[in-house]
Amino acid sequence: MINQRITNGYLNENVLSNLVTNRDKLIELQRKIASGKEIENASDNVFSATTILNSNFSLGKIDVYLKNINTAKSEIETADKALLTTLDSVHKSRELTIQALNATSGAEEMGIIGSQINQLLQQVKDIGNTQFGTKYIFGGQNTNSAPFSVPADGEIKYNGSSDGTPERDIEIAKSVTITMNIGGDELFGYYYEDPANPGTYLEQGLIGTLTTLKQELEGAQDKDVIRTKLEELDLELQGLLEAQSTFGGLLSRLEITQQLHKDDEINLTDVKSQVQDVDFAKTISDLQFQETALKASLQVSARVIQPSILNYL
Amino acid sequence: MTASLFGIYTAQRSLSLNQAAIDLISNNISNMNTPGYSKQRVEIEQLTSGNISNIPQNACQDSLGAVISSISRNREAYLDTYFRNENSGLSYFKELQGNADLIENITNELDEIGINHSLDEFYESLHQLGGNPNDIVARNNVIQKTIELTSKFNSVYERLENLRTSIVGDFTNPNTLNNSKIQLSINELNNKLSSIADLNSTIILSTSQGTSPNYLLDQRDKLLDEVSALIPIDITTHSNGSVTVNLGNTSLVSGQEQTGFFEVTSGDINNPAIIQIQNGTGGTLVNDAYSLIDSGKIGAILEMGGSDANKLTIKSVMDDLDTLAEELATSINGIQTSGQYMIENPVGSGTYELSGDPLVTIPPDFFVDNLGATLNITAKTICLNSAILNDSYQIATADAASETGETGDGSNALLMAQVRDSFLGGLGGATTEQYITNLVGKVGSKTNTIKNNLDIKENVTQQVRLRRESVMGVNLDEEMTDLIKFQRSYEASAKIFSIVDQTIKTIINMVG
Repeated sequence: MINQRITNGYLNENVLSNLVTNRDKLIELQRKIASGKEIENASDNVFSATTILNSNFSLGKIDVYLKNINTAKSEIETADKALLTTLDSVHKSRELTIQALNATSGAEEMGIIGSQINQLLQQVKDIGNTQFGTKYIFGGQNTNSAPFSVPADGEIKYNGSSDGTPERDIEIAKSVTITMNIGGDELFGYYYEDPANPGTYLEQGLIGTLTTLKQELEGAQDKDVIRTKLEELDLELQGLLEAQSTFGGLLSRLEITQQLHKDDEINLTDVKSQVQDVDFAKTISDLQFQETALKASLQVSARVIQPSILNYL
Repeated sequence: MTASLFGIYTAQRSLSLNQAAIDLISNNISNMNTPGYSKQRVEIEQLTSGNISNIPQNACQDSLGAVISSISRNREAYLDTYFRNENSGLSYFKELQGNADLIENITNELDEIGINHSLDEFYESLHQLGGNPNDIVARNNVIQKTIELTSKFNSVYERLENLRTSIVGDFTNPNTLNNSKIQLSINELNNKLSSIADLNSTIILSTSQGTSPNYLLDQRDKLLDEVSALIPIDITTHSNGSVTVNLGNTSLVSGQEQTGFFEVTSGDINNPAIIQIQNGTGGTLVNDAYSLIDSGKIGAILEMGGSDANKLTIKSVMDDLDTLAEELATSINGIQTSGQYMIENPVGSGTYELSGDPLVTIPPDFFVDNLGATLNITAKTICLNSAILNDSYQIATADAASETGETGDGSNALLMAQVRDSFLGGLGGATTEQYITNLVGKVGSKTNTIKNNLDIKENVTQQVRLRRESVMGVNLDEEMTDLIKFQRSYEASAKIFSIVDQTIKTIINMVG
C-alpha cells in the first residue's frame, strides 16, 4: 500500500464496499431475529439443513404413531370395558347355575333361572355388538355391520370375519404393528343352525354354552347336563380372563410406546431447535456489535471522504 | 545575432502549453466519475532549435522552451489482464449463484411448504385411513392430501422448467430461445465484439497519424472489460494499436474485422442451447463452444442449463424429482392394485362391500400421468387417478385375502403408509424422505460452494479493481496541485511576456 495513489474513485469504492459489507451483516442479523430462524436456505449450512429435515421426518412419523396409539388405546379400552361387563354376566350365570343345581330347586324355579340366563345371553350378544364410533369392534375386519344377529328365535349367529384373519393392525412404531382386536366368535362364540346341514346346530364359546344351558333349564332339566355346563362356564371364564389380560398387556405396551415416542419427540424437537432456532441473546448482542461497527465505519468514512485540498485553496 | 522578439514567442508557447495542461486538468476533473475513464496527463519536454551555437549568448536561444510531446493515459496493461480474468470468474459465479438461489427457493424444503411436508401429510392420511377404512372423511382426506402432494410436485417441477426455459430455452419449442437469457447475452456479446472491431479500425488510423486516441482506447478497454464478464477471453495488443480477441484458439476480433460470430441454435434435452462460432460468411468455426466457454456469465448460463453430472444444473434437480415421483407412484400403485377397494352394493344403498380378487377386479391405479396411464409418470405429469378422485371408495384399503364383507380391513392402506419406511431400489436404496434430504443436501452444498467461490472472487476482483482504480483514477488533490502548478507557470509566462514587451517598448521609445 505504500506510495499507492489514493484516488477519489478508490476512496469511494473502498468506503462503499466496507459500508455494504457492514450493512449486509446487519441485515442478516435482522433477518435472523425477525424470523427466529438460524438458517433459511440449505446452502446456509448444509449440515443443519439435513438435521432439520431428518428431525422433521422423524417428528412427522412420531406424530402419526402417537395418533395411531391413541386410536388403538381408545378402541382397546372400549373392548376392555365390554369384556368386564361380559365377565360380570358369566359370574352371574355361574351363580344362577349353582342355584339351579341346588337340591331344593324345582322345575318352576329352573324355568325362571333359564329365562334369567336368557337375559344374560341377550346381554352378551349386545356386548358383542359394541361400537366404537361407528365401528363394530368385535366383528373382526367386518366393522360396518353388527357382528351378532338373530337368524331365528333362540339362535345367535356371528357374521364377522370368518376367514380366520379378523385382525385389524395398526402401526405404533417403525415396522411395529399391533393387532387391536380379537374376533367376536373367539370371545363370545355363537349358536345357530348349520345351513348346509339342517337340524344340526353349530355352537361355540360363551353363547353356545349359555344357549344350551338355557335350553336345558327350560327343557330337560337334567342336573348332570347342567353340571357339565357349569364346568364349561368355568372354561369360558378362563378364556375371557385371558382375553382381558391380552388387552391389559396391549394397553400397557401402548402406554410405554407412547411414552418412548414422547421422549423422542422432546429430544428431536430439542435437536431441531438447536440448529434451527436463533440464540436470541447471542444474536442480539451480535446485532448491537454490528450496529456499533456500522456506525463507526460511517463516521470514519465521512471523515475520510470529507477533507480535500479544495478546503484550503 | 539574437532575435529581440524571441522571448515573446517562448512565452507564448509556454502560455499555450499551460493553457492546454489546465484544459486537460479540467477534462480529468469532469471525467473523475466516468466509468472506464483513465486519468490523462501531459507529457512535457524541452524544445530546442537543434542548432548548436558556439556563442553563449546565442546558445540561450537554442532552447525554445517547452512543448507537449503527448497526452498519455494512466494505465497498466497487466492490471487490465488480471482484472479481466477475475472478472470472468466473478460474473460466472454471480450468474451461478443467482440461479442456485432460485433453485433453492423453488425447492425450499426447510419451511412447511415443501414436497416433504406434503409427503408427510400424505403418509399420515394413509395411516388414518388404515385405522378407519370405512370412514369417508378419512378417505376424502387422503384424496385432499394426494392432490396437494401431486400439485406440489407439478408446480415445483414447472417452476424449475420455466427457470430453465428462461435461461437456455426449451428445445422442443425453439422460439423460446429468442427471449432466453443465453440469446440476449450472445446478442450483447456479438454487438460488443463488432464495436471492438470498429474501434480497432479507428484506433489504427489515429495511431498511424501519430496521435494517441485516448478516448477511443478507454472506450475499447471498457468494452473488453464487459466482454470478459460474458466469456473468458485472451487479448493481445499490437503495435498499430489494435487488439486481437481470442476465445481459446478461435479468433473473435482480429484487426479491423470481427472474425468470430456467435450463433445460438436449439439443441437437445441435455443441452437445450448450443453455441456455435461462425466466420463472417456463415462457415462454422466451432460447432459447440460449450467446453470453450467455461467462465463468464455465458459459461454459467450454459452450465446451469446443461446437464453436467458434476455440476449443479437445473436438470439434475428436475431429474431427481422425476425419479422420486415415479418411484413413489410405482410403489403405491403396486400396493393399490394388489388390494381390494369398496363397491356400493346394491348401488344407492349406502352399503359397501369389497371388490373381490384383485386379479379379477383390478383396482384402478392410484397415481397416473397426464394421459391417465402409468407409462409416463414424472414430477410434471403425476396426478391422482380421476377414478379415485371421483369415488374415494376406490382406494384399495383391504388386502387381497379379505372376504367381501370385511370392509374394516385397512391392512392394504397400512402397507401404503409403510412405503414411508421402505428403501426403494429406484431411489438408490433410500426412503422417499431420505431421498429428499439427499436432494436438499446436494443442492445446498453445491450452492454453498458457489457462494463461497463468489465471496472469494468478489474479494479478489474488488482488490484488483481498486489497484486498477488507483492507477487510472483521478485524484483531486493531484489535479488541484497540478492546477496551481500550471496556473503559476501561466502567470509567470504572462509576466515574461509583459517584461519582453516592456524591453521592446524601451527600445522603440529610445528610437522615437
